[in-house]
Amino acid sequence: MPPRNWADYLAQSTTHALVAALATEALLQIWRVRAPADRLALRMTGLLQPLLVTPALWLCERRQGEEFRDRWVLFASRRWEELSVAGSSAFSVFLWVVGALGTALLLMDLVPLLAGQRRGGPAASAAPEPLRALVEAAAAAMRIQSPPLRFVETRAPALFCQGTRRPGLVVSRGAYELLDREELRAALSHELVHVRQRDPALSWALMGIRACLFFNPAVQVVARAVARDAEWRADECAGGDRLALASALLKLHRAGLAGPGEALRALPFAAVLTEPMRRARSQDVLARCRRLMEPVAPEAAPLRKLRIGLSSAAFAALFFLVT
Amino acid sequence: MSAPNHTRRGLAVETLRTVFGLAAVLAASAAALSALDAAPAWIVGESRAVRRARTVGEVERRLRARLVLPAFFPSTLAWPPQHIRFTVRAPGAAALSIQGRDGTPRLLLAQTAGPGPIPGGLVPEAAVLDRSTIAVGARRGTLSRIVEGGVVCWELSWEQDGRSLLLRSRGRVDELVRMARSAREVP
Repeated sequence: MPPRNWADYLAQSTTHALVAALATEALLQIWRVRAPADRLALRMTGLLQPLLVTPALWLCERRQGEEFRDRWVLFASRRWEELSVAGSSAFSVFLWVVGALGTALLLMDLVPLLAGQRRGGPAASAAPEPLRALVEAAAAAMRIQSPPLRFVETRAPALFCQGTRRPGLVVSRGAYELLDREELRAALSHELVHVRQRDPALSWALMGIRACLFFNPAVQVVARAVARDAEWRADECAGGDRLALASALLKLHRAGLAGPGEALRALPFAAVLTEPMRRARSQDVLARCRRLMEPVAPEAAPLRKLRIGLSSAAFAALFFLVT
Repeated sequence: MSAPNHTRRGLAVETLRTVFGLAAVLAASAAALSALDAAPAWIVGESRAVRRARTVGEVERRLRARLVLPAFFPSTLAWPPQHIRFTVRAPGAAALSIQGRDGTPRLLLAQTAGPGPIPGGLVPEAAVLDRSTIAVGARRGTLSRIVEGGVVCWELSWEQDGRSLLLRSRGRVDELVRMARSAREVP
């Protein structure tokens, strides 16, 4: 029986994640799943495969033998070891390339996040009474306890939810003054959905999965898609005036673009790195606004539990034959 | 009364969509994975059953069997082998392609790990010119003169300890016979 080694594990994890991601996207299309909550649940099914199923399969003795590989396996990544690329085996080249790509994708999100945590935010001050009343009214409408509110005296527009144990809202003076009353109400409702769904905890869990599977680019991309689904779910579940939420999104995004980016542009090559990311963020905001312009939220897909169960079992069975 | 019927029908359609959609995606994934698995063998022009190893140790580990190697090894041949190819389907077999010191292909040593013929994918096809029986130690072997790729070669095949062995050489016949008679499992 050949000895297990880490290169085989990395290759299997990457292949499983890639196949799960592509198959999940195909299923989302075929099953016509449009509701963000359903999309998030199915994508999580695919995301958890390399985290839970791959290690379990890795420990399965039956999959290790040469005879099994020869007779039953659909795809053995070691096959690519027999092919040379620039003096190295295609298997090694594949591992190095995906490892570098996965790590780069993780660092692109992790470094700014950790830098932001280290810097800390500006000091909090007492929130204006109208803002406090709006938060309490929106929380009452959602039948949740009013969360802690942190008001920060900064011109930069910021309105988000944070905290894993007891999530709270952070609102900056810039955002408070930028948005009109209806927009502010819609944006606060959006953030309260994040509070209700405990999305900050989900966000940290996703970052944990990404850090564990840092070498796996498919996991990095799917985790981002799940985070985007959580945003879309908050948009759809916020209720109230959808156009006001779209307007608030656009205003906050535009104000954010005009902010710290100017200083970065003075640096050489900064535009090469920042422009594609800004464009991607703008595209995402546009897509959210386009969805919010629909008069009603998309319907939840039927048979959600059956679909999640079937796809999980089917992926696990397929990956038994992918080494 | 029509609404529940419609819902039931809609649910049936969605159930069918769920099952057939998943089956289609799984089938497409399996087909794509099989094609990716076959691609390396297709690129190097080998049968899918034939694999490559880097060292004799690796092929012994993967076949879980010791290889039979000649104790007599002419100084005109280069070691280690240029290519080591093997199949794992029972009985398991390996073929070592050995170059001369001048870099030209000189010798092919093929063997099974148990009783059974050597798979065709490991030994290139050749036309037999003539054939005779010869003693390989206490065993009987078949010595043939063959044409492989337009070159006349000697081929000696015999059975030893329940295995099939084959030596094909572009060198001298006396060297070939001496190598066969000295062949044994390397401890």
